[in-house]
Parts: sequence; C-alpha cells; structure tokens
Amino acid sequence: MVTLTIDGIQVTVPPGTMILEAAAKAGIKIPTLCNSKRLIPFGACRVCVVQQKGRRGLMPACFNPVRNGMEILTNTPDIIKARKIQLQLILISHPLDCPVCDAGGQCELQNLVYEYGVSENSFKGEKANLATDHVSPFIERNLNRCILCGMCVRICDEVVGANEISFLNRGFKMKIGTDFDRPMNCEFCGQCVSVCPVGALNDRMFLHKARPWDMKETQTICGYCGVGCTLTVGTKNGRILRVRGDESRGVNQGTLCVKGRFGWEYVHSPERLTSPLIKKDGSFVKATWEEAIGLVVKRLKEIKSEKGGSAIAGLCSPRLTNEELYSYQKLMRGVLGTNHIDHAGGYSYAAPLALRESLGYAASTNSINEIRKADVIIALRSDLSETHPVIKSEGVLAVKRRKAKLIVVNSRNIYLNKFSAFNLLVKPGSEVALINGMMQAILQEGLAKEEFVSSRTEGIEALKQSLKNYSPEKVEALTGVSRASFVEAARLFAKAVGGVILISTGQASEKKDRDLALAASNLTLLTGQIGKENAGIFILGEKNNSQGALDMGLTPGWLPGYANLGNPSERERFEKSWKLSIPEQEGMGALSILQAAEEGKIAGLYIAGENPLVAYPDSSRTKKALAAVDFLVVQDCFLSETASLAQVVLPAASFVEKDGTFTNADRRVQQVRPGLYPPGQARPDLWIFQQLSKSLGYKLNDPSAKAVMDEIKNLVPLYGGIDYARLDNPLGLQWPCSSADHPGTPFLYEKDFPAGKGKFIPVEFEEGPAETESPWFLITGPTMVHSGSLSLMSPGLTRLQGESYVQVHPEDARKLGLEDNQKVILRSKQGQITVKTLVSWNAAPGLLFVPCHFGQVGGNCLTGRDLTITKVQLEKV
Amino acid sequence: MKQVIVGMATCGLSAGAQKVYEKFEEVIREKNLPVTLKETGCIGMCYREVLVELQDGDGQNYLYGEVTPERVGEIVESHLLQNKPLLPWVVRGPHPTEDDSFFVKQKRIVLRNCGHIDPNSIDASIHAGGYHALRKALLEYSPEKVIDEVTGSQLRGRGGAGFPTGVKWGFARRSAGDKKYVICNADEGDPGAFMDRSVLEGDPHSVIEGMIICGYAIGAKEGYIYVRAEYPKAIQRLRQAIAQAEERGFLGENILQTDFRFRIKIKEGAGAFVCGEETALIASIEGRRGNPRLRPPFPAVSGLWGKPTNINNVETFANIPWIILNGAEAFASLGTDDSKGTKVFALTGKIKRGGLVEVPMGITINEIIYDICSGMREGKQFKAVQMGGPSGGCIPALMGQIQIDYAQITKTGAIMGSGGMVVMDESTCMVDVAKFFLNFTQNESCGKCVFCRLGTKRMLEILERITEGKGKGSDLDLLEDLAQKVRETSLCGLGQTAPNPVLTTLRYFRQEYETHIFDRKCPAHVCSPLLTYTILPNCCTGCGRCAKSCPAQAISGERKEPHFIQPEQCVKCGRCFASCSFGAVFKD
Ligand SMILES: Cc1cc2nc3c(=O)[nH]c(=O)nc-3n(C[C@H](O)[C@H](O)[C@H](O)COP(=O)(O)O)c2cc1C
Ligand code: SF4
Ligand code: SF4
Ligand code: SF4
Ligand code: FES
Repeated sequence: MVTLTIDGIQVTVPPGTMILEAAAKAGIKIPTLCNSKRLIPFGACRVCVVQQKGRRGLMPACFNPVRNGMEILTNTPDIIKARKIQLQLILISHPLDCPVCDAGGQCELQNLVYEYGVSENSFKGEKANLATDHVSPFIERNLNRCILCGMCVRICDEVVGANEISFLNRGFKMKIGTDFDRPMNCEFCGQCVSVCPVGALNDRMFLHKARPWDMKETQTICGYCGVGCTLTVGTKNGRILRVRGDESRGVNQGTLCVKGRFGWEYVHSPERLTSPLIKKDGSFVKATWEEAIGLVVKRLKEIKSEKGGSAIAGLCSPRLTNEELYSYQKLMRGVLGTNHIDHAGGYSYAAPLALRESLGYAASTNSINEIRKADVIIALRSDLSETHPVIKSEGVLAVKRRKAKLIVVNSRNIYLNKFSAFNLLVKPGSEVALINGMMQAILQEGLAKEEFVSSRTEGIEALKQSLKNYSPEKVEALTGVSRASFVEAARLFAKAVGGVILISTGQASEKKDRDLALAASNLTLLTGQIGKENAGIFILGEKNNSQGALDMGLTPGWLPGYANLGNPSERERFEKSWKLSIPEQEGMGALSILQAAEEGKIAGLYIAGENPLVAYPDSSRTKKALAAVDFLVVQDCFLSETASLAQVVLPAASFVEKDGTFTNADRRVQQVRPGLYPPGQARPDLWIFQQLSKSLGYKLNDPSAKAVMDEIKNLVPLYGGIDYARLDNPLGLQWPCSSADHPGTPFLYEKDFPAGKGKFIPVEFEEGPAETESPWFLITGPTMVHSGSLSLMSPGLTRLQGESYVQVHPEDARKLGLEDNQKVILRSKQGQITVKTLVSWNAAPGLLFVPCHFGQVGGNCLTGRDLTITKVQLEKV
Repeated sequence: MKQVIVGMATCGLSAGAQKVYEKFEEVIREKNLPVTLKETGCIGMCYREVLVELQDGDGQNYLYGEVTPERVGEIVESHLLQNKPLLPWVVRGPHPTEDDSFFVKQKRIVLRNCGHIDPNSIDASIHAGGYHALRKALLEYSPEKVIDEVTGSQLRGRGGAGFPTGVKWGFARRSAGDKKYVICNADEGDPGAFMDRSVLEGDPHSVIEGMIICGYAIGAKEGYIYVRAEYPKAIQRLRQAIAQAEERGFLGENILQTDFRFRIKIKEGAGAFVCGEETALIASIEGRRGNPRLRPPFPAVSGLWGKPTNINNVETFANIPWIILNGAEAFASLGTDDSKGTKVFALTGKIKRGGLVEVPMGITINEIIYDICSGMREGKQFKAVQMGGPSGGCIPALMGQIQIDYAQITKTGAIMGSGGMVVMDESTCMVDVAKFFLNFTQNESCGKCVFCRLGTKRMLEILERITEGKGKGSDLDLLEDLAQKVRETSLCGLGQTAPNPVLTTLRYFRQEYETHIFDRKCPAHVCSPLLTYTILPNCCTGCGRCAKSCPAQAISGERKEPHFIQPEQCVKCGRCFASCSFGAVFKD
C-alpha cells in the first residue's frame, strides 16, 4: 500500500492507483473532462492537473500513479489559473448555445465554467462551424460542441470494439467522425453518447424533450435479455424520455445495447393493449376487468370440473418478474390443478439443467464482470454481439486490456471473430464433437489438472473411455476444423489461469443444449477451470428473466427452487405453506402441450406473455394447435399473433410499469422498479394473477410483490436471504443466498459441489438426421436489434431492421447468382417464406441464417419441433 | 583505375547531380575512357554541390565543387586526359584549399563513410569496416557485454531527448517477453534537418549494422525502420542494403553461423511531424492513427504490438558499430563531462558554408559558425542560432562561447534536438522566427491535448497580431502565460517544447517584441505591415519607375521631380523599394 497526502489529507491506496482516484478516496474532487472509470486514462484535457510539493510544474492526476510520501496539492493559484486558461481556450470556439443544448444542467464543461467563474475571455476566435448530423439513427452529432476529449472514440474502441468513430485531421482542425464523414452505421449502442461530457453526442429521441433536472429517474433492470443491465429510466409527465446506463450501477457499469438504451418506445406504442378484450362473433370487444376475469374464471372452472385440471395448460414468458412467475405457477398448480406449465417453448433451459446434473446448480457458475478478467474465453455457439451485446463487451475488455485469447466455436463466421485468436468454424451441430476432441487432446498431452480431477470430481474413467473415440483425425472429420487449431485452442484453455466458457441459449433443441452444457462442464472439470474466480461456465439466457423462470419452477417437473415435483415430501412442503394441493403427476412441456392441444386434449390454455406463434418452432403447427383449444386466454402488452387467436385478451403492464425482481444470467436477483403507470386498464401480471386467484377462491393477505418475495424466500432456500431491503443496492444479490446474513455468491463451487463432487457425464456426438434433398443448413436466432416481439413495436429499432432476411455467404451468393437484397423463397418440410437476401461474410458457406423474430416470415415458419438441424431449399423469385 | 564519384545524395541531386552524372557517363562513353563512374553520399559540403570526386592515375583524390554539366567536358579534358587538375575548382585535394578549414574541427564517426564509399555496394561498406563490429559483437561479446560497452561509451540518444542509449537497451533486455522489437526512428520531421537522410543515403549499412547489434543485445529478432515517405532515395538505398545484407547472411537466420536471427522491415511514414514521437510512431507502424500516448508503459516495456521495444534514432544506431570496434573509452574520451562523442549538425541559414558537419561535443557555437562555416554571408552580423528545430530555441550571438552539449544547450532554453541549426543574421526578425516555428508546430500538433491544440493556435494568433502591428501591451504577458501552460500540460514532446522558440526569443530579444508593439516597427525590416516606405527627395531623380511598379497607385510626382508615397494608400509590398535604381526609396 502507498500512503500520500492530498491537500493535507492522508490516504492509503494500493500501488498503481492514480492520484485522481486517491483524491476521490480522500473526498477531494479533481475536475476531469476526459476521464471515465470505464476507460483507460488518455490524458487529453489536462484540467485534472495537480502539483506535487517540491516539484516544478503541473501534472495530470488521471494518469500519474501515486508514490509513497507524495504531497499533492489540488487547488493552488497556479492550478486554478491553468484551469481557467484551459476553459477559456475551449470556450473560444465552443458555441455556448447552452439554452438549447440537451446536456445543459449535466454538462461537465458548463459545470466547470460555472465553478471556476470563467465569465470573460482574453482570447478571441471563430466559433466552430461544422454541420450537425441530423441523419444517423438514434444519435445526433453536433460537433461544434465537441471538446475532443476522445471518450466516444475510446469507448467505441475499448469497450464496444466497433471503432465506428475516430479522430479525423490533426491539430486545430481535428474532429471526431466516421470514415468519409458518412452517417453512422454501427451497433447504435449509444456508449459514445453516454460518455460525451458535453452536448456533442446526443440521444436523438431525447432531443429537446426535457431538462435533466425536470425528469424523474428510476433505477430498474432491462426487460430484454439475460444480462440484466441496470437502466436509469428518465420519465416526465407519464412518459419515458430517455434511458441511460449509470456507470456506478449494475453488471453493465453504464454500458447498454441498442435495445436497452433506445428500444423502449414500445412502452408508449399506440398499439398497446389498454383494455381487456373479449372475442364476440369473431371480433374483439372491449370489456371491463370484472367481465373479463369473470369469463375466464367461469370457463376455466367449467373445464376443470368437466375434464379435470389436466385439461388446462399454461405457457408463461420468462420476461415476467420472479414474483409473477412464482404466482403464476402457484395459480396453475395449486388453484387450477395442472402441472402442464412451461416457458420459452420448453426447449431453451436444458443447458442450465444439465449443469445442475453435473455440478449442482442450474446456472452460470461465475459473475459476468469476471469475464473481463479471464485470459482464455471460449464463445461456444454464442453469437454474443447479437444475443448479449453487453457480454460481448466483457469479452472485448478481456481481449483488448488483458490480451485474453478468444476462441470462437460456431458454424457461422460471427462478428465476434473480429476479436478472436481462433475461429473454429464447425459443421452445424458438431460443437460437442469439437469439445470432446479438445478434451481428448488435453488428456493426450497430459494437460488435465490431475489434482483437481482426483480430489473434486468423479467419473473420470468413463469420460476417458468415451473420449477414446475422439482422436484429432476423427474430430477433424466430424467438425471440419483443422486439428492443429483445436488442439492449440485446447492447450490454451487447459493452461489458462482463468478459462471461461460462454454459452448462449435460445433456439436449439433440448438435447443439443444439454449435450453442449455437459461437454462444457466436462471440459472445465478436466482443466480445473471451475470453482475459482475469473473462470467457469456462463449460461446466457435469452430473456431478461430466463434464470428466474427456472428458479421459480415454471417447468412441468420442478417446483420453485428446483424442488422435485415427483417427490411427495417436497410437494407437501409447498402444499402446506400454500394451503393448496398440487397434482401428483408430472406435467407436459410446452411442445407436448401444443401436441396435446392439437389432439384435442387441452381445453383451456392460459398464455401469459408468450407468443408461441412466432417464437416456437413450426409456426403452422403451432397455429393449428392453438386453434384447437376451446378456451384460449392470452395476457400480453400487445395484440400479438397469438393473442389474436384468443377468446379473452388481458392487457398487461410492461416492465417499466411494475415492481418485482428479475434474476439474470449470473444468478443476480435485481429489483425492478416502476417508473410509470400502465396505460389505460393495463395491469401488472402479478395483479392479474392475483385477481384470478381471488376469483377462483384463493385469496392472498398481502398482494404486494414484496410479500410474494417474502413467501419465496421461505420456500426457496437459494433465495433464503433475499428481501427487498437488501436488494436496494447497485448490484443486487447473487444466489445462493441462504439467509439474511449471507452475502450472496459471486462464484460457485469454491470449496465443494453440492453433491460433494463434480460429475463427469460423458456425451457422445450424434450426427443429425441426414437430410439430403434440401441442400442448405438453416440457423435461426435473435439479432442484436430485436428480441422477441416487443422490440418490433419500437419504431426506432424497426427502422434499423424492419423486416426479415436471409443471410447468405458471398461465395454462395456468387454461385447462385444472387445479389444483395434480392427476394428468394426458402422452403422446408414445415413451410416456406419469401425473404430478401443479405449477403454477408458473417454467414458460412452452405449455411443460411434467418432471424426468428418476424412472425409471418420468421425462421420459425421453417423449423420443426424437433429443432435439431433444419435444412431448406432456396429458390430465386 | 581512374574513378569519378558523383555525390548523389538528395542535396547533390537537388543541385543537379543527376545531370552531371549523365554528362560524365556520356563523355566517358564517347571517349571510351578507362574510367569507372560511381556515386556516393553526402560529404557535408552542401554549399559546394554538385561535388565530384576524381581519383586520378596517381591515386590522388580531388574533390571538385560546384560542378555543372557544362564543366564536365573541361574537367575530363584537362584532368582525366591531360592529368592537369583544374585547381581553382578543387575544394579538397592533395594541395591545401580554402575549404580545408571546413574539415579541420570536425570529427567524423557517424559520417565516417558518407561521401567516401559507394552506398550501393555492400563490399564498399565492408571494405570500410562495415559489419566488422557485428562480427565482434556476435562472436566475442555476450549481449550483456554489448550493453556494457554502449553504456560505457555514454552515448546519448541523438533523436532529441538525449536519453543514455545503453541504459535504454538494458531496460529492453530486462523486459520479459517472447518477442521484442528494434525500431530505427528515421522520421526526421524537423524542417531544416537532414542528418538522418544523409546517413541513410550515404551509409545505410552502418545503421543496419547498429540495429542488428541492438537486436542481439536486447534479444529481438525483428526490426523496423520507420522512414518518412519523402525520402525516396533513402528508402531505395535501405531496401537495397537490406537485400544485400540478407544475401551475405548479416540478416536472416543463423547470422554469422550463430543461432542469432534478425530481420528488418521498412515502414514508410506518412510524414506527420508528431509521428516521430516514439509512441505515435509505434501506433503508426501498427496501422493506427499516429497519436502519442501516455507513458508509462514505456516502449521498452510495452511497445510495438505490446511487446518490449527499443527505439533509437538513425544517428544513434550509426554510432554503435564504431563504439564496438573502437571501444567505449575511445568514444567517451571525446566531448564534455555531460555529453560524449560527436554530434552531426545540419547547418542552414545565413552562413557562408551550409551543410552537414560532425563535431566533437564541447565545441563552441562560435567555432562552428566562424571556423567551420567561415562566418556570415555578405558581411552581415551573426545574430542568433536556432537549435533543435521547432522544438528548440534561439541562442543569441552573445552566447556563442558556450560549449555544445546537452546540459549547456538546455540551459539556454533551446534543446540539442536532432541537430538542426539555423543561423540568423541581423536581417532576421526574431518575432517572425518565433512565428514561423510556432506555425509549424501548431499545424503538426496531433490535436489531443487542449493546450497544444488550442493554446498554440492562440499563441500564434498573438504573434501574428504583433507582426501586423496590432499588438497590445498585455500580449507579452499573455504569451508567456500561455507558453508556460502549454509547456507544462502537454502530453508529448511536441506540445512540451512547442513554446520554446517563443520563450527563448522573448528571453533574449524581448526588446524586439516591444519595438513591434510599442513603436510599431520591425527593427529587422521583415514584418511588412510595420514598414514605412518614404522617398528621399534628395536622391529621387523623378524617373517614375517606382510609380509604375506600385500596384496601389500610392506614388505620385511629376516627371523629373521627387516623387512622394501616400502613406494611407501604401500596401507595403516593397515593389518601389526594389524598382528604384537610385536607392531613393527608404524602408524603415
Ligand atoms: C514531436 C516529436 C517528434 C520527434 N521526431 C523524431 C524524429 O523525427 N526522429 C527521431 O529520431 N526522434 C524523434 N523524436 C524523439 C523520439 O520520441 C524518441 O525519443 C527517439 O526516437 C529515441 O531515440 P534516441 O534515444 O536514439 O534519441 C520526436 C519526439 C517528439 C516529441
Ligand atoms: S463528441 Fe463528446 S465524447 Fe466525443 S470527443 Fe467530442 S466531447 Fe468527447
Ligand atoms: S438487452 Fe441485454 S445487453 Fe441489452 S441492455 Fe438489455 S440487458 Fe443489457
Ligand atoms: S502535446 Fe500536442 S502533439 Fe503531443 S499528444 Fe498532445 S496534442 Fe498531440
Ligand atoms: S482527466 Fe486527466 S487529462 Fe483529462
């Protein structure tokens, strides 16, 4: 530790700390204009200058590290003079249009000018006169206000990795811009806007909407993906005006993706449902809540008494809060008497459950912010820049700052390859063979962590046996990846100080996800990359509360907290507490429910927040199944494709209109706080579930979300110490958190595994069914701009990407004589769609990609329920 | 065998060496003479270009100066055919010449081969001792011993900052890393400097040899030479020399049958001055924008591609083989306590002999100007010398006695810099000089630091104001304030030194500034807006030429009567002054 005094105050800080941070610790604020804790010090603005006693001259505090015994002065007349001249110099060309500048009130320059009382200027010069960028989506650039701090350029490079903007020209003519000064064409994550200390880069949607101090800002959690970024939602007069990230909060530390920052417009969409609807003679009629609830209760009661609870089924979205999901399954199981409940198609959570089998917990093993400190990262079948952009940034930080090696295992040439040391382009679906091949190479070369394997795992012999089939030659043939590269990748991972595996889940088959997660688990156990910091496996759920849905028992076979439904004593524990009875037989999963519906076995289906018609595979069959249901209730923010088939539609609140908690991909329970009231008659899902429960005869004492969490806490040991008072912190709490004094668990398995040892569970690679007639492999999935159905209701996002497309590799395009943006028909056994081509190197030869969001023309019109490999035919129109 | 050797470095070429060479070729061919024609680099006597060395049958060398294609025939006829040297044109030879004094006080280490050997021939280089030092270092010395030698010689980096080279090599050697790099900084961005260019053009092998030795010493296997693209001749010579060295096994695998390997690549720089700053240079090689970055980490720890990197100037490297061959003591015996060895200077300005000189450290400014350069042209008075280019400062004639070494020069407020020396006489306006250099740095600032980007711009505007006669009494304080802050708060050497020309001229020639501001006069008669032109009635013959030359019709007068300049109309272009044959126009 290093001890120094700053303005007479003594502080002790770790070596390597910059004077700036040490001063902050001493409670002294040194002004800065080019420094952010998200960035590497750059030293451009020089307002942070300080003096050291006994030395001549001024030195910048932001990048001068502390030394023992230093005496630093931060406010001498010399320093103040330097800062004043500095500000005067900047102000010469600065337009000083503060009254119409959006940064007014939170502008660092304005604040400093105010603080230093710079009211006159001994210099004169022309005002900057550059054209304002009125064209780029989401981001307005008014470079006349730019002070060239370079923070936008640096964050785009250091954190985002996009390098969209850079410094142009030199000296006095220097400015910030894109190549050839074209409009911006990037990820539009808005990180640049978020760091701009002045009003040079602005959130276009926020332009001239409000003064910062006139807004109410609410800290909540993003409702899109499983990263669980903390959002600061600015509202005024019942409307969101701006969303930003706060660098001192959450796993994202200020970073957001385009959806999180700019994708909130759907909340105010005129298409929002504002009243319950009841279908009469084929068309919807507005109804009161009494009428709607009355009808739902009446019909479900009838079905229950006529056909039994098992004729009722429920599908619920992992977008809901933990409290809602919990209440939903309680309603379905306890009150309506059915275990036929599921979420997210039932196929997207096999990976975490597989980890539960081998390691003990059904979740990521470590914390998201540890990824940046890893030194080898495997992105396993994970197109992170599209699915989890903020995790991508963690990877970028690791690669750029720590020179970590990124190993990309994918069947497409995904964008992430820009940062990868190895691009292991596998044949579709052969990832497991590749991982097995890597493990075999590790064993062959004696790189396994023997001590870890012998003391902390079991089943190594079976694994070794099974891996014998995965010689480098064979794996090369199975995967199409050269042995030299995957063997080298295996060595790197085995020798890494911190090796991390990232798996994003979503559109894949249950079996494939399970195998992949087990293979990953075997690899980490074999190399000891688990049970320690900056290592482990991350299962990145597609939706904001994918983890919570699993934790809350929204599955046919598991009760909340992974209590086994088949175990009578477990069931009893819940029954006693709920004073309800739970049916014994295990329920059906989502795809089986649809199957049963198609066969006429499901009479009542209650869908909350899901849009199976778009999100589930084989859309045409899904449609048939839904049509076959007697009584379909859909609860949603919008009249989705699915909702339009319903008899009753219940208007739900969006995530900014309710409270509760989400659990993100690193087991972090975080509080969701309302910034708005729901529009019209729309209500939070929790309220709706409670009204239904009450009308069905089961009344709750305290309907608040907090009370529901208190109930969860008592029944789910993982959440035992989680209560709202404790959640009121910038980072939430990570389960397992068993008691009020448990600090939460940043990484799992440090000392032991819940079952004592980690289990090797060998997985064999099975080639998909050989389908030969259709030549093209099809991969479907999310894109960076969209997530599910909600994002499509945000005009800004649809302007970036408004229609479906098929991504074709340039070589294939050349062979087929296809141009960019040309209409083609894709045909599979399940159906066909007509879409435009997007010729891109990100595809791989022989492989097509179609996004899964766009209802009528989305990938799910082509996929099958078995969701293994889909092959399609392609024809020009 | 008789030889004709034409100095074909850039200085020679710009004086017409190509034509001279071709003329010799033609005459030799026509007359079918048994004479070999060769080229060589710059010997330093740029004031005498084109230089041609003639080795006649007696084995005597004659250096002809100011050779033109027209004179070629005569030289061939008289000297080659009739063996009669044309002594009036000989600037160096067996007989004493007036120009000998140019060499008396020089000591040639870096320039030992420049202008003597054929830079196109590796054999010529080897013959002159080239690659002998490499052999000695590789076969007889351990890397540590090489570093000890360099450290012992007390050689300081010649790129400007003067950091001890051996110490720097030691840092790079001690930095752990699987890969390390050696970079030769041949960006030479100072206007008026051409030392590095001359060395690269005249003796590329010495620089390459120095780099290989450095690679061996620090444990690097790859080197880069960063040359400015405006040096096509140097680049061509380097490429050729690298290829030759590879062919002879001085570069590549198993150099001299040891297991040491080393390769050199050339990177052409885009020419921005700031790219000569080491971190900007590294960024530029990596393909990024050439902006300086914060240090630490220093390149020795994290340089090119994040690997330990040693970066030195051309001249620094060219010293290395000499030090290895002659020993550290021999080098350290030259110079002062503070600075050892020699320094190459590029002399330009109002001296009689401009060119490239290499002098031992410790020589005085006066010795260079009066003894080597033979004093000022046109009998004018020596007023000041600008050392260190735009980052340096003006040293007044009064201080001509000071001995040149890093410490002494720094004390004056100038810097040693890379070796540019611009000598000024009484006809130079010091405010104008400061403006010239500041204009350069202001344009070349990368734009990162607020003070360097904006502060220099405002300083320049103040200087412009002063030279236009619009200066205010408070301007000098403002200028000093700004200069101080620019110096203290800029990140890299460019910004930190940019105010030097202003600060030194203010220090030594403050009165000149004040005359500009308070008297609205430019004592050197340079700042045209401050000049007044008047016609002296007693000299004027009334010829009327001035009136015709005036673009503003400011001159009136009857023929044969004294003319008169209307001051309000005068645009101070000076044409009347130039047009009058009777000296009747008076400039003040
Ligand atoms: C603005 C600026 C320009 C520079 N230009 C050059 C240059 O053209 N050539 C050079 O050798 N060093 C230049 N330097 C110095 C280098 O940064 C570096 O100190 C030098 O190459 C180190 O070599 P040395 O130790 O052999 O002197 C420059 C420095 C600054 C700040
Ligand atoms: S646009 Fe903003 S963030 Fe970017 S350099 Fe200018 S002031 Fe800094
Ligand atoms: S969608 Fe995911 S990555 Fe984007 S802001 Fe929301 S939580 Fe963060
Ligand atoms: S001092 Fe000038 S040239 Fe150097 S980094 Fe700063 S702005 Fe760029
Ligand atoms: S904050 Fe230190 S230089 Fe800008």
